[in-house]
Amino acid sequence: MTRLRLREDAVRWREIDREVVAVDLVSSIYLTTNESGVRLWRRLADGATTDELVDELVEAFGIERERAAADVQSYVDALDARNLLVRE
Amino acid sequence: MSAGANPVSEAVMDVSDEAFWRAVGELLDRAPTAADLRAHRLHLLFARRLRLQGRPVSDELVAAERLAAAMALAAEITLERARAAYDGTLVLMKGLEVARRYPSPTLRPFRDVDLLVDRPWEAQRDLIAAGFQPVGMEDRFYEDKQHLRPLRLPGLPVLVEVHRRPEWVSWAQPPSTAELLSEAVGSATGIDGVQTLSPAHHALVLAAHSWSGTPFRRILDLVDTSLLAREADPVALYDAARRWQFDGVWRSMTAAADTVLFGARAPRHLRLWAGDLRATRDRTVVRDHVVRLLSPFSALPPRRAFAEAGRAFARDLRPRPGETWSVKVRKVRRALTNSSEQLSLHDNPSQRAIL
Repeated sequence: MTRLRLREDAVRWREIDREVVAVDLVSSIYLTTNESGVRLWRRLADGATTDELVDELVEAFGIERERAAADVQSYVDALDARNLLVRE
Repeated sequence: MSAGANPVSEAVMDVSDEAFWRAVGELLDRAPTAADLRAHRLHLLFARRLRLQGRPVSDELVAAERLAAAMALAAEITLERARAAYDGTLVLMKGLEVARRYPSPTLRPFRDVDLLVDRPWEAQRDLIAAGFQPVGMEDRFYEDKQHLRPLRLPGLPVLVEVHRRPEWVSWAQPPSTAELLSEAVGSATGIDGVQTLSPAHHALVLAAHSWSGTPFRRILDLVDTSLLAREADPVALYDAARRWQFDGVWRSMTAAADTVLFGARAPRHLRLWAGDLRATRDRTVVRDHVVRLLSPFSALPPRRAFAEAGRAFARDLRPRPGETWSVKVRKVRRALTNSSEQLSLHDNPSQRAIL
């Protein structure tokens, strides 16, 4: 199954109190993400499948799998729009 | 080095790291307001302390934390690109380097990447060729300054200042750049090819930078200098301080840190400012002027202090380089009107809206 991973050459980031602050190195745009986004971001830094990302949200927040999948897709789309992900 | 070589108590040099940061934390707790801590540039440490104590953190502090994290990221990127652009000696000083000594590098605010280099004009040219853009005033404004015109990478908020020498006190020659570079050590940033000043040199350069601006203005400066001094070989530190005619300032800075962080009794000549620092209060405009004019008496023998205070007074009356007399008169009038106002509000009136 395809694994998604943050592009190390495209983004630099730091975690502060349940938030991620990141810099898109190509556009020099700053990004922040909320608590659920931080969980996904951490997993994507190490590399994860879409299913693993959905599992992460379901376990952390006790939400339905369908809603978690939609949230993950929306998150991945946003990162793809900035070309911040690689697929392995 | 015998203990008698430095006449101050030096608790700040002797305590453990844990005790040092505990003292900083207690200082944060006794500050009257978050605005006072912001004036002393300790607000990011304060936000962390609130979290550790399970207390709420204001939106303003959260925004400051985000900004600090973004600045830290941008500074690292900027430094890496500067390193790649210039092949000479590159020594990182001040904010970004000192921040690595804090519990987290995002807890120490800074705006610039300060670089001391062996060939300043060549470094400036190479950085511009690599895409850095000059900002600020025109080049000639910086002719007598310690650094060249600031540079910035498009899209990133951090300025790079290429220094030809460190900023120093007005009564002495700055240490030679060659000496500073010859004893440089690896930078705590871990970036390949980036060095920093030896801890002894760095402590003194930080103290000189603080003193030549507004002596004892910010507690952050005392924390910074203490952190570097604690890493330094004391023999090398006091030897350099004496050779560079800086031992008086250094004794005052160390005594100030002891007073502010560890409750030591302030020497008589430091009591004028000690109240504001010990209480973590922002200084008023009028007190700032008085401290600036009288600060030579905390660092020099009386005769030299009188002469230096006279020169400082004369400098205070004249416009700064590039400033017209009409601007100077307006500033004096405003300072007189706002003499009892806190200095940070006087310098940055926009803060009235957010504090």
